[in-house]
Amino acid sequence: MKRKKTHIDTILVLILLCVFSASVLMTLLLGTHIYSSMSDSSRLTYNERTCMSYIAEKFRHNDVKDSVYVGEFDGLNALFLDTEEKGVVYCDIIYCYDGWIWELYCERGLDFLRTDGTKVIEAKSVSFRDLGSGLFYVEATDLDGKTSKLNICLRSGG
Amino acid sequence: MRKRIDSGHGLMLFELLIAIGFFAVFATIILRLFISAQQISLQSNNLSRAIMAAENAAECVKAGTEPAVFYNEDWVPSEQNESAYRLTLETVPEEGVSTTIITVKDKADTEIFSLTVKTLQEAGA
Amino acid sequence: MNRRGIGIGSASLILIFSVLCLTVFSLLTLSMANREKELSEKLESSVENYYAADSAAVEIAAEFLANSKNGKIPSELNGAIISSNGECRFNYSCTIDDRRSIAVKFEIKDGKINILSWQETNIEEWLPNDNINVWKG
Repeated sequence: MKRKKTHIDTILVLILLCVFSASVLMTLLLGTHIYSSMSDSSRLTYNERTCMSYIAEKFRHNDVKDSVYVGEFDGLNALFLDTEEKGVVYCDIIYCYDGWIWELYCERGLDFLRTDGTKVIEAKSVSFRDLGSGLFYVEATDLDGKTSKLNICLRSGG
Repeated sequence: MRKRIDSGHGLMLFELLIAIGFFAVFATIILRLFISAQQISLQSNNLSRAIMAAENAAECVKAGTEPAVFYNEDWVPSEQNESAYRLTLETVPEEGVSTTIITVKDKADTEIFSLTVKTLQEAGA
Repeated sequence: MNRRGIGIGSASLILIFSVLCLTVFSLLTLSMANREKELSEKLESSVENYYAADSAAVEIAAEFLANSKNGKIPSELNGAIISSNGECRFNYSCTIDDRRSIAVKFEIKDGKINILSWQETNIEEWLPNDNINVWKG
């Protein structure tokens, strides 16, 4: 009879300890879940924001009449931003290839390949469209499949 | 004669109860911190999205086209009945200049972000 | 023989470990949320400043056009100095913040304003990086 009582005491204490440990574990898991979901959300927003800000700033820095146009570069949809320096026209080409947004700054008219550019930021795809009246539409898809859209209107009319 | 409860178990039970008490207090405080951090993160995420939506609308206004006005929970343009966020455009025409005030509001009509954009009424080709 | 159970102190150990972990996670989460909030607020002020400068530049262009229709060519409007770089071609700039400004070039033709450029420019001193590998192909 004494042994049974001892066993019941032990079992009760063990059960209480297990319940306590389980609640501690659940709280820890909840905390890590909140942290990891916030971290993911923060990363996604950062990628989207940085990508769109970079493209928007490129447009704004090159808002000169007849200098911004959409075309094809090495078979890829690309944005062309022309600048003239000392009588020579240079072209800043922005395109998406192999999971990255690339930028290539070269003299206009010279032949370059898509791999000659510099990787800027990760993205699954980017498309540029000239909607007319100086309005451009940019759609970018990040590596997680999330799409973000940008409208940008040039005051100089492009 | 009843034997006293095994003193080892008694001490352990007492310690366990104290630990549970302390844990309950700490966990409440720490979970409140988590919840407030999540709310701050949600607010700043909403602000970033509202800024992007307002900018897109401002650029459409500059071009003279209609911008998207209703957005759903994920900040994707949607219909009015599915919208969680909406943009209001208030145009004030003046001499030579048209001023548009773009305001992004949530379902509760609380202003998240506001932007003013001006366009020339007379512009050359 | 009486067992002492699992061991006195195990509950305290679990308590200390869990409180430490939770405190670290919560502080990391809070600090990350605050940094995100600061970044969003910086973005907000940057966008507001840009559109404020853009609007100011539009006001100047509109006022210049109105003045030119009355035969006046102002050299300064709303604090911006307007300089001429050719017949009927003018330029001015509006400050966005301490690092950027909007440089506008336009011409007046047939009583209408024709924007030649509306560029965002950097006004901060640019320090070059001497360690860039240049493609010499």
